[in-house]
Amino acid sequence: MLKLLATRLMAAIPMMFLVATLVFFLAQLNPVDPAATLLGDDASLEAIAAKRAAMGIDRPLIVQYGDWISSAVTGDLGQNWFNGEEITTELRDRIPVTLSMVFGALTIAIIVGNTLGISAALKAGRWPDRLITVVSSLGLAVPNFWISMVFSYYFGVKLGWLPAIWPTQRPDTLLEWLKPLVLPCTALGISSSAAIARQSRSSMIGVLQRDYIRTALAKGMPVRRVVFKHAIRNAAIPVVTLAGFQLSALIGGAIFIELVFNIPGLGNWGVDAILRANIPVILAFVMVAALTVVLVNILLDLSYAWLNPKVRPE
Amino acid sequence: MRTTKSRMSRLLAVPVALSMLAAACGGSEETAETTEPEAATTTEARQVNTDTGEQTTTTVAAEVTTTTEPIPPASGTLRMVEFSPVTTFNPAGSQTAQSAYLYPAYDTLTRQTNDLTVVPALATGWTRPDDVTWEFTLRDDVVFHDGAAFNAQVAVDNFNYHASFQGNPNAATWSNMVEARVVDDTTFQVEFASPNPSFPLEMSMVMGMMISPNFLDGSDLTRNPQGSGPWIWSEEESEAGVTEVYNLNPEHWNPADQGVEQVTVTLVADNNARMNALLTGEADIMATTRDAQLQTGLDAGMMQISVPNYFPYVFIIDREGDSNPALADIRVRQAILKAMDLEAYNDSIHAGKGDGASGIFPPAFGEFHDPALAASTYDPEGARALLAEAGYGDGLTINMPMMPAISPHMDIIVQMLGAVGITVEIDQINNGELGPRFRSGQSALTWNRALLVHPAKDLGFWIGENAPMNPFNLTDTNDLYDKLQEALSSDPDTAKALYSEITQGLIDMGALIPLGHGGQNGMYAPNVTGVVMGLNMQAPMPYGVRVDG
Repeated sequence: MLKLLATRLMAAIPMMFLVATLVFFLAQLNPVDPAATLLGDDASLEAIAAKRAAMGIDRPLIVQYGDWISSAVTGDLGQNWFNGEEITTELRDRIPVTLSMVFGALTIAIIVGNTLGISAALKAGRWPDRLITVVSSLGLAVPNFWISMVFSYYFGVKLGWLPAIWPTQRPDTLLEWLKPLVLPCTALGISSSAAIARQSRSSMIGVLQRDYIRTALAKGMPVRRVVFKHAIRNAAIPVVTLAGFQLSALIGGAIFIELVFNIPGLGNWGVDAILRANIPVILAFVMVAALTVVLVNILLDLSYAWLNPKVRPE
Repeated sequence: MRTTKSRMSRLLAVPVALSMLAAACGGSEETAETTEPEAATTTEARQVNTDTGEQTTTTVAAEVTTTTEPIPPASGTLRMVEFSPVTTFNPAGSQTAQSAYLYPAYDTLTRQTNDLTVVPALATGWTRPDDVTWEFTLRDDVVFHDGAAFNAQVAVDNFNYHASFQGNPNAATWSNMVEARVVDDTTFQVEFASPNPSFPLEMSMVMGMMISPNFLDGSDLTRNPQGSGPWIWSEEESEAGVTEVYNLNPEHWNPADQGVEQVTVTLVADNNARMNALLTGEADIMATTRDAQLQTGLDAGMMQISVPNYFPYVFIIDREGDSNPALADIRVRQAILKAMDLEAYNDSIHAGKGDGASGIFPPAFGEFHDPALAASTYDPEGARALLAEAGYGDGLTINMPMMPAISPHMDIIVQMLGAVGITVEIDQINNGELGPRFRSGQSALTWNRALLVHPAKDLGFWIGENAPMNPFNLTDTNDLYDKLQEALSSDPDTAKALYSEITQGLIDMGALIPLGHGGQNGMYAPNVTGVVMGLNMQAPMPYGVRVDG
């Protein structure tokens, strides 16, 4: 297992380098002039030119790339062009927020999705199965940004049960920090719950039809024990794969949810950077997203090996 | 038109004005008494009656009066939610849009009251010794957060710093400055190449924010505000791009400004989220409230504050027809004017909350508003007739730039022009590129908007051979430019008549196509008192605001 982990991590290094290079040059295609955006419409052409020079974006692209990559490998990702803050400081503040939301949503998705999927599989063809299928189809169809707006208004503003937006003053306690995450995590987790429910149902139905399950049931083993001891583990592999993919989707979905709830995470930060051609932030944002996906894939590989001894390396 | 919806906010104008007068007082103890400045002040001031919308120009002579009022101690936290993030805490590099982040930490030379009058702040008075010179008298008890003292030399150094700051968004104002010079320790003069009547007003904005002399040497102020304001920025408690936190400055010269112990300004970019923050009690003041959101806030018991803010217009730049020969024909340009339905524009863009009056300044600006200019020119049949007369009866195609931020404006303009047979081809550009685009002569005509400050500033943007809106160096506005120079040296009544004449001239020649007026709105919770928002501000100022009302 350790060898597998080491191999995967080593392979991630050139991949991240390639991603960094690709993103750096792709980001230059953004037609927005950050100097003009910074100074506003009233700025003169001379002021904009002076700002471009001060920002160093009037230099040849290859020089800018060399500067950025040589600093990045030492852990210096530069400064945010639009507020002067160190990128690493912003990442330190924002990554925990987004990851909390994403993993909160994933937890909801796994619990709700598997519960619904297994329930549907155990009642396959009957009305609970059909109802769960309809509900999960709805969950997949409705965009999460719309759900988040509805949640924010009804549960946050109208009913006042939970915060409609991230607190404007820094939360002091863990509870104060978690409370504003409930609605975003739920809104974000709904479509993933639906996807996992569907996958879990079909996977569980397949496993429940296997001979060893039928034998266990024929020998009088209780259904609950058969499901939890024998069926779930074997039905889990495709669900785990899907959950891994869902994690990437959740990071993407977080962008919209963070905007609606004004959550100071990576999504809000990244969108703002893209709109204003804040290239150092775009680069950091994409690198973090890419690194997360790479790490999740490594974890998936490790989980396969744990779930199925046949795929473990020699 | 300036509107303050609730009776409460109208009543607030009185204590606000009093608190602003108190802004010139001395003393630093919480139980201090306010004392009016002793220097006699003479200046032009703009005064708007919030009830009638009428406005008068007056010469303010600040009498030497002494009033005694107990000042309640600062209490609580004022939480503001802002539309745009702060890009820098350096006033010389800051746009007006970010000023809400700078006001707590910096003092300005002047301030605006709720009736848009310019009143003393760091400057106790200002006079105009000649047409091109302003002389300011300063307080002598101001100390910056780093302990440096404020005096005339510091103010002069600040002006030179602003003028020489690379990438200053307000470079147009400073490029007109010839010299700033010290008269004595509390008096300085600033001389311009041409008259600048709006300078005291501009000194209430980011341009008038004074920086500590210890940081005028090129020090990085991006995340390091160094002013003398009522609150001191807290690096530990702030988070860039999220919330900026400011704590009480115990050494501030005016305790009356300090209604709260702490100010927080939080970025909430989404309009609905910002309103939700106010409605759920997460914020006390919501900056930049869309016209269409006002009713939601009012229905929930929130208070509204609005100021006239901008004049949207279409300007035909290429009047010699280099890029589109049709525009050289005055009948075509006048057809464009007649095609504009200002009421429809107001309904569409401002949810009917702006106005459809023509002319640069709305009725709230009695000083500059001219009812004769306000008449609607909408006449689609007349527009078609003019086009036919000019040989474009079968239609005409023009090209206009559009960036995402102005797409609602452009959408309706395209429709209105389309209705009279003018097809608009859109030149899609990015946000922030409109100014550079028309200044470099790449657009024959464009939508734009002027902030309502002073006619001389707006007219100077359009007319004259070297005006920013005249990249082709056309000479057809030279006579109007001469009138503008005459107005700058004239008494207020003559100047007003000349400003109107110039505006009418631009409209008649089919250069300026007015599109009505829009305002800047803010909303605040009913427990908040003392809210003041001035011209060219996107958020109310924190000075004198209390949250324990």
